[in-house]
Amino acid sequence: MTIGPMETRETMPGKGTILIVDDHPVNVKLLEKILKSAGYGTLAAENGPDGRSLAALRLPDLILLDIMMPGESGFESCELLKKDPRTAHIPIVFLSAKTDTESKVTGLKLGAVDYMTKPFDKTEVLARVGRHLETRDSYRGIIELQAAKLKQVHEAQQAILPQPVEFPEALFGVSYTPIIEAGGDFYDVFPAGEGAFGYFAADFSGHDIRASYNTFALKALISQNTGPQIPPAETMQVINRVFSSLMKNGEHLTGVYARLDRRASELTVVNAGHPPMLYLTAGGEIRPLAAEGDILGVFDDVLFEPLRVNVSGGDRFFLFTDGLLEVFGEDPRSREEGIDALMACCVETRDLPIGRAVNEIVSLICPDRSRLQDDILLLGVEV
Amino acid sequence: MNFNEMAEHIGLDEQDFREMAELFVSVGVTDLDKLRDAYAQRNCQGVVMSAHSLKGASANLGFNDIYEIAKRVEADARAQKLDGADEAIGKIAQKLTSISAALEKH
Repeated sequence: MTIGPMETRETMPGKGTILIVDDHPVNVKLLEKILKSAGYGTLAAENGPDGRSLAALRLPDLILLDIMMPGESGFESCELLKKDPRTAHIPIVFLSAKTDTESKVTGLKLGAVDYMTKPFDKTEVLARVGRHLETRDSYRGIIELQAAKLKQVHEAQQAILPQPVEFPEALFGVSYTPIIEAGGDFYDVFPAGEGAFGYFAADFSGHDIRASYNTFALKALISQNTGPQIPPAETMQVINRVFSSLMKNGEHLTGVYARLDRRASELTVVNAGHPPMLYLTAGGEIRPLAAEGDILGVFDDVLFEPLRVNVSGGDRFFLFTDGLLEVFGEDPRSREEGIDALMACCVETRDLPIGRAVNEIVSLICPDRSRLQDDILLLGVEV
Repeated sequence: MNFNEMAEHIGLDEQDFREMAELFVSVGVTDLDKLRDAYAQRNCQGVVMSAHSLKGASANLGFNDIYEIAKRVEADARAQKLDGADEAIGKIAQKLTSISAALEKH
């Protein structure tokens, strides 16, 4: 008598649902009775592949997994369950007649939270299942709390990033996609004197929440240290002084600051170890603006060589972070290939309004943003 | 064979235990057939799997005689020894018959 290859038995969940994966109907039935008596719902499968399918479909609260089954062993099932993002979070408890230490260690190394040996003892099964569900609930609570905090940081970060409607005369479009709620890329657009605007893009090392907190400090520094009387290179010096005292263990940031004086038709660019800005003329010629400068936050003394460019109405320039260059996945690119691809897209979208052009460029470079491995930022400006 | 005592030992009521014991006998007969076939073909891995199956289920219900026999057969087969398997198969068959008879009696 067998349960059947895909047949499963289910009871209504009370305190949680436990998936039992065991090829022996007696063991399955006994566990069902034990678990149901304590108010748990159960699902059952008689082999590893069926168990994995059921786990991915029904997302049980815990999996009781036999080791020695025909075909796929419980160890193999555990490994595959932990590799599958849909089921990786589900706690797995091995239940086995194998009592040797090697099997127990192997099971725990594969990611199981516990290992119980047959014969089952009802009180032990219930005590352990209960404890692992409590632990899972505690983790879940912590994760939810952290997610809420991260969301707050994300909202605060969004609030400091200016949108085109706030400064229509700055004539810019922007696309920013962080890979986590709070990203390490940053941009700013701000008035920098009569008829002039500053455009800033930066990339902090790391993608953790610390990197995103630093974006707030950078926003404050830019706000306090830019204006018609402060040359862009001096702004960068101040930013470096502050961050080199704040950052540790190789943390750093790169950035590019472009100050556009539309009345003087002059663009001043300072680059601190950041990918070059791209400059696209109204006639459709494009080139990188390779201003030299050190990265920020590492050295006490840094050097920048500001670049001045005469601009004409209808020209465009683009600031971005390296996430846009190094697209990974099935079609990885080198940085040079990335810049070439980006320049081609800027030219291709030349006839679109700047806001739409920016979005179109990002769509062309990264058609699937769910697979990003780095934050991406593109800021385009029409002179 | 005191089913009430055995049921209490694993935390079930007698009715549930009887249900489990009936299932055990039913599946046990199939496992024993597989064990017999594997032994006839001198298939040690097959003997290990069938004996392991009988061992786990019998241990869970407290049928300790069957557990001890199946455990020994499994260990021997892992060591590529099938000498006592024939006799063990006979003993397990007798034990399953006894359980079946006891279930019918009460």
